[in-house]
Amino acid sequence: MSLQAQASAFFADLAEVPRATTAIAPFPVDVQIVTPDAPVVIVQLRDGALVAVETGRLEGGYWKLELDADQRIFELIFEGALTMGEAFYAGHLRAPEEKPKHNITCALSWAVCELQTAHRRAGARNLLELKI
Amino acid sequence: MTTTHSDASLAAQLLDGARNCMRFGNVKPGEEMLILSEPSAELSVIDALRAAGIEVGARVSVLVKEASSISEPVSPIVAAALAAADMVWDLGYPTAHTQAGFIAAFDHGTRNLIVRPEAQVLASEAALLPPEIFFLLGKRSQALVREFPRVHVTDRKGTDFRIEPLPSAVGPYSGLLPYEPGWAVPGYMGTFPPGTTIWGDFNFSARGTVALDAAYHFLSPSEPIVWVIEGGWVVDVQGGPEADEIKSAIAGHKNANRVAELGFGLNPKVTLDAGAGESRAARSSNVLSWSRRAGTFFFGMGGNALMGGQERSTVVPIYGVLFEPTVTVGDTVLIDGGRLADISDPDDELLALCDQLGGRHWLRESVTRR
Repeated sequence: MSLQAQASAFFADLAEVPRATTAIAPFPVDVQIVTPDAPVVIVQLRDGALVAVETGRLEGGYWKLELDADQRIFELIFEGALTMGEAFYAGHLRAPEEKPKHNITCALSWAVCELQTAHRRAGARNLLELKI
Repeated sequence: MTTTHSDASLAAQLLDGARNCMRFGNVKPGEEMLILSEPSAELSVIDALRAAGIEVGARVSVLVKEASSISEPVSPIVAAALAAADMVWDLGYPTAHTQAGFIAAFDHGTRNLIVRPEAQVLASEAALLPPEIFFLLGKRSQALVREFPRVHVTDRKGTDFRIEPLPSAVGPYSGLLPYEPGWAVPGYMGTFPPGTTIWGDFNFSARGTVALDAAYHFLSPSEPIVWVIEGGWVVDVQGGPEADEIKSAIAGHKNANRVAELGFGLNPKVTLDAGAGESRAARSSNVLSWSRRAGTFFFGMGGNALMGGQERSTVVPIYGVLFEPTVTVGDTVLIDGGRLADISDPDDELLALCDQLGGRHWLRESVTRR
């Protein structure tokens, strides 16, 4: 499964998890996922919901948040085995603009953690059926 | 026990400071607010924060932990409390720099602001400075360093230090908008009273010598504590017995001598007075708070994970401060002998903002009585 597909599956039900939605809703962020080998993936989030997941690279961008790591780190995050906070702290994940975009970084990281929790409780991807 | 007029007056001043705390921290009704203390904190500070939190409609919890060393992880109980809280007022060693504090901010959205545990600070003018003034000063100075990322710091004691920060590493206190300070949002970290403009040293360009007026928990060392910096690392600490203690504190700890963060203060109302608190945490917090005074320059030595760097350390950073530096950013003298140019020579926008917020007295530096 490509990183783009994994990102799409992970964020698909973002709008169905209120705590995750609340965390990221204030920030119209384009998350740019950069790995050494896979194509760059851009996850567009607006109003606390997933809009699109595309490949490509954004030049500049006021609301862009770039995340750099080995592909396996992103896979572990999407699988729920590693939080973004843990990955940042361990030095496995980098956000080159973390300091001036600490707000977006933490909002995304928090939303991801909430989404991981919801996925785990729902047995992965049955959130819509369970109406959590 | 009777309440004197001066007691009542102090309590009222503390409550005013605590109310500004709640504004700055963006505390909302229904939020879980944690006051994280150590036994040495003054009860009047806790009382004022508690009262202001309740007034806002937050649910307040107070947790008193024992003082710990800078290399000791927080207990699981404290870690759980940090993660569960929406807002933490930290009166001890800065938990934001611990792994638990880091995880709380990033994975749980906890806002964490360090407050000095002494009544004299929360009751001071520094605690009353309208945050909007700090936000404007921060926005301007951050933009300047990003545009001209060449910083040279000197002082009369022999400091001669240079760094070329990456523009992408300049912050902090970002609110709802990137690149500029604003009201606290989830994950917010800093101090109250605010605040600073800071950056990390991700390109290892920090180099030179800094002769610190105060560092670690030493408020007035017997002689300047000199850090010799090469390629982003503090390679030697010189001075009196205080320097030896700093060397001992970091010895054997990976990355504890990395240049973690540095920057300058922006609050004209922070004084360089020594606090009444005698605990190590209170004195360390005292040094950190001096770095918030407009016109000072500070250095943090230790892990830089919190700045977005990759050299993490189990040791909470050790801070040092220069009281009267001259700081040149590009070709602009931003600070001249400890005087921040924006405050010494304010422009119309800053003056108009002060007029809206009670008067131009906000730009008059509070007098230090040390």
